Amino acid sequence: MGRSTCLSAETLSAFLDAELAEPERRDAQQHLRECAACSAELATYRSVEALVAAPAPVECATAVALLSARHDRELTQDEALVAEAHAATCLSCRSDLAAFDGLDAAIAGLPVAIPSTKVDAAIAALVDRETVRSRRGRRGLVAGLALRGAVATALVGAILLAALQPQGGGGPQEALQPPAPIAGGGALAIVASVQQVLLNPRTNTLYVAHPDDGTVGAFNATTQEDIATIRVGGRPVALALNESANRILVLDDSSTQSLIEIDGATNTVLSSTVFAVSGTVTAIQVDPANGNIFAAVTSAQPQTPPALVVLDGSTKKTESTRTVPVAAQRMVLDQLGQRALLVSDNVTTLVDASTFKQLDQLPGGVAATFSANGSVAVLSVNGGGSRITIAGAQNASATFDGAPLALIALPQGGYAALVDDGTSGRIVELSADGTVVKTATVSLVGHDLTYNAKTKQYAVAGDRGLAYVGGPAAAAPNTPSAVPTPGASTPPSTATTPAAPAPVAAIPGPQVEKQAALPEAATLAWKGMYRLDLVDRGNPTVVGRGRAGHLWYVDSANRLTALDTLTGDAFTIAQLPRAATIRSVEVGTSFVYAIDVSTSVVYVVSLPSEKVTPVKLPFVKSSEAVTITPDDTLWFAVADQILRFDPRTSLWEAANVGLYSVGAMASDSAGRVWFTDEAHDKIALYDRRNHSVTEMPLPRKGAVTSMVVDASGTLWAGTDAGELFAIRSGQLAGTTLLARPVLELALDGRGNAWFLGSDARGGTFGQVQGPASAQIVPASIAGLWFDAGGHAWLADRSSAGFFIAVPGAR
Amino acid sequence: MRPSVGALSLFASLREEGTRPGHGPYEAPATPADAQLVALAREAPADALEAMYSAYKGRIYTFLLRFLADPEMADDVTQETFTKAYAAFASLTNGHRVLPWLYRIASNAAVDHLRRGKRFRWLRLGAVADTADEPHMRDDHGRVPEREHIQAVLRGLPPENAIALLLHAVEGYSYLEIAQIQGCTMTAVRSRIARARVSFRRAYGQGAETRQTG
Repeated sequence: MGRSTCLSAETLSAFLDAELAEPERRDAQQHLRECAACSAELATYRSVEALVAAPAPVECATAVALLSARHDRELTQDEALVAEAHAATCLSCRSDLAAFDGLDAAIAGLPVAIPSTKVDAAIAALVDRETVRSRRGRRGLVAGLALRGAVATALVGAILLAALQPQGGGGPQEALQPPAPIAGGGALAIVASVQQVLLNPRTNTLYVAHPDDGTVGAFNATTQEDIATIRVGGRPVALALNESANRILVLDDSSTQSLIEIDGATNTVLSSTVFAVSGTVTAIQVDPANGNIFAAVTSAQPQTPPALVVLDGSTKKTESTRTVPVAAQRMVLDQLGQRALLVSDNVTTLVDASTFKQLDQLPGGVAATFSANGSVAVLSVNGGGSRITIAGAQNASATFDGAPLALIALPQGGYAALVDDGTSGRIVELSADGTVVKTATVSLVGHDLTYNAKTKQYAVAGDRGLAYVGGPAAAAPNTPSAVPTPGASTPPSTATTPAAPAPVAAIPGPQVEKQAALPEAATLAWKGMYRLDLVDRGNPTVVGRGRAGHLWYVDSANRLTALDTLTGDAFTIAQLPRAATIRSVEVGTSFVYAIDVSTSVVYVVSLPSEKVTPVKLPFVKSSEAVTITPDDTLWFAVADQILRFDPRTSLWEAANVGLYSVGAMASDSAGRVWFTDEAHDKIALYDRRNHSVTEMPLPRKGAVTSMVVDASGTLWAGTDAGELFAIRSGQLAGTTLLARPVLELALDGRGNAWFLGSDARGGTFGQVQGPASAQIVPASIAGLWFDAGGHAWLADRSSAGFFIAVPGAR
Repeated sequence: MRPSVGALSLFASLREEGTRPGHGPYEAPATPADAQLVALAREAPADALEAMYSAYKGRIYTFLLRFLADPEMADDVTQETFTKAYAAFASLTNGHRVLPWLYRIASNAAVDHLRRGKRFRWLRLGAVADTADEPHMRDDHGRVPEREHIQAVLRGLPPENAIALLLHAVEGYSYLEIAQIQGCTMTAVRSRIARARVSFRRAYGQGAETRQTG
């Protein structure tokens, strides 16, 4: 029997759908067994059928959204089918799906936290304010009371639980007392014995207010030598420092209260302005961020509430007046001018320095300070003794003998309190948690206290004069040397001579006038230029950038060296590994950093403890730029990140700066950080107070090599194409072409900016504002640094020594 | 570690009943009923603010800290959230649920905070020595490297995606609720969460591998 006729398409289709009558189906089946062509055709029909029946295939990108939603049971049934169909065939999506499992739990497992007490205080203040306001116009009381009851019951558990949680790090300290009630508006305006002694670290000068004879004394903080007696007139009772402008402000508390400004460089009176405020100014402070002057004003009139008045630093015009909750007798601003402490009779109030919003209140009020790590400490009366109350990273409270007088924070952490023992004064050094570490007796009962980190010496100002005390010792208290106050019967010139030899730092011996304050070993090289050769030392290769004090440098043998520019003595602080490539040395107040880019290590020198710690930071070697802020924080720019290192906590943090390609960084006295963007010819300013970045275009031919912010707040940026830009108030204020690459920019003791350039003849240096009068030094110069006397120190890379240029000698 | 499906649906049912599951030690056993808070907000706003802050400050701050990765900024935005909420009490209606409403204010404030000018978001990378001191953190998990890695990935996500994922993963909110909080469609929420998860998966997978090899 021959093969039957091939099946038609209709028959095949009907066969597939089981729609053929039984005899037909049997025949068709028989034929399909024998005919390969018809079987193949049927197979094709089957696969088409399967394709048509299946859910439409989707791309992975679509599928993953569906799979993610299916994971959350947020899909319709149809969508779920599509998702499953895709997952069945796609290995990558299946593996994504499996990973989603752990993800939510991992995120949910991040630690929980509560806002700081600062926020609690701010909300509590808002609640208080609004409660008072609503009581004035109360209505719907019955319903309100019932509801309050209901919600209160519901919340009891929550509040109880919250109250049981320790706030912050905690420790074995006493619980804080609730803040005392705020004194009423009728408090008398009393000018207390406020800040009467002040250290200007920029010029290493100690200023002392003598209210009774209308003068302010200026002393060398190291040698205690009398520098000047500045006649300001009136009754100078309080001092404040504008460090960036190098000016000392004096509050004159005579019948017409005025503000007197002293030039820190010349120690002469620059201006005197009568306060245009209604009330009595009790305290003054300078905002380090912008030079604005804060004045605390109180009034004897009950209807005039106490206020904080902000004056423009240059015009002395009132910028704003805000009422504050307390009549402040002392006022302290933090390092960044961000927060202020208002010390009143029995409570100390922490306010936001820009909005004057109350952030917190602490009991007691004789003196208060911000610690190096941002904590707040208040010194108050405790029976016949004193109490210190600390709030911040650690909450603590401690008591000790002696009536409280003054309190300061120490740069290395911890505090020093000045107390009255009845017949003499006493300095009590306290650790960050309020534990008494050391004490020292002072021969006079003082009003005020200051600490010089450089000499590790306290100065106490009192009615009988000024006493210096070396670092307090636990066993044998030092005998201080007392300096009598110039009184009516004593001429000021003799009265300010130290009564006893200075305990630290030898006074430089008599020298030729021209060489005053230059090391004896320095020899005249040519007019206006000296040369100090260093014996048994390597050639300087990197010069430290930063504050006055010692000149820090690294030599060709990789010795980190501190040079006393008064004596010419060089001290090896650390022998760094031979393999190290030190790119820069950053000099702060309490820390010095040497940055080694070959092994990615930062050598951290702690000045208080005199220890050198190598810190391995993997990003250092790929860092593009580095700078240091006045709080000693070290900043690096690495690829798309800016990293910062806090030496006090040893913590490092990173911020993604995304689009920027950072080439150079610099910081100003307010701790703001400038950085350049080399990819887009921009320059940007990061303000850490609000984390914001403001940028401006800065078209340039070369790459920025160095930046510095001068005392007027002008940012100077130099490029390897010899361009020198001045940026003031966010605007390009000037461009100069130097015709040689800018190697470095540095500040002199007065805060003026200088450049160091190089060309075939050697190093060139001059003031940025007068590049025409630049000087040439015929040597390869590794770096430029200025001492407190205004001498420019130029490191000679080719032989072990420095050129020293005497200002104004040319 | 991940809650089972059963636990998830339990979350959902608890949510509908108006009480919330606890995640941490700051959780109250019961939070005030939304209706009472809304009524109190009308009658005695200062008391309502106090009640809301006590009850929800931990939740809002934790959310903001996870999103912003900066304790100071999280502080600022927490304060801003409750201040703004107080100013907007008049807009609260009886149908409002307070916590999602607060989350909406907080997310908008946080995104604004980041966009108001360019801002740095600091991420604590760790301590060089063993002197780490995180005053506000309560770390009961002890898995610091992983925690930091999660935080780093979250920080790198587009803000909308990070917020959607956080609200879902941490609060267990449904897509509809997240859409209401974020003021967008459910489809958008679906794609935000999915995109967040995928970027997470990529970064997290890479991080895990790096950790294993490094």
